[in-house]
Amino acid sequence: MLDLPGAPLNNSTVPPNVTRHVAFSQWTYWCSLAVSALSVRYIPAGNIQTAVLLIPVLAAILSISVAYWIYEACDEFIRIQLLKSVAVTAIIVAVGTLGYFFLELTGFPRVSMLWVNLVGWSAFNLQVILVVRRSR
Amino acid sequence: MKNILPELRARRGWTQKELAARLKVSRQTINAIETEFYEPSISLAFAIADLFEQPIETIFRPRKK
Repeated sequence: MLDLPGAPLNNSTVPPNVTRHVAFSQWTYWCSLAVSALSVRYIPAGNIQTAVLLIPVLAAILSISVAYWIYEACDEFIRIQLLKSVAVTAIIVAVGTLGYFFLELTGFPRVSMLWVNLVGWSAFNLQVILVVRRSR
Repeated sequence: MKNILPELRARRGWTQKELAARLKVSRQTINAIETEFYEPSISLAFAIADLFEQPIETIFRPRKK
């Protein structure tokens, strides 16, 4: 094999352990949501309850940070694939919420806006894992 | 955009993974360029041209209409 000039061999174009990082941030987000939801029942109203209710925001920031870190660590083609994932997520959320809006009119139970966030993040994170794993 | 990347790579006996590592991109990116699914950015096109020591217009050519 000819040894022509070029960058030294390395595999740094795809961040390592993406599945683990995304899964951890998603799991943290779910747990914080559960804690937040339960706090309404078990913690009396006040500053502490407000603080506990806001924990999911920190978890959401963690999720966003992980997604941004993955985006920054990927090369140009994978970045485009990740941006497509954002678009697909937006479509899933838009179609899902529109569809369920009409289902609610027919008597389906009203659900919290939180579910939109939950489904959206889960769908996005799943796509990030698939895109990055496929690129290996 | 058509390209002769597969031929250039084959001449040097490199796999897609080896070429990807030399260009600091993923193997999937090389595959996407070779199959004309993706057109590289100007900086990546220059890096490819530099690596193969060929002008960009020799490696990448617009499709004839």
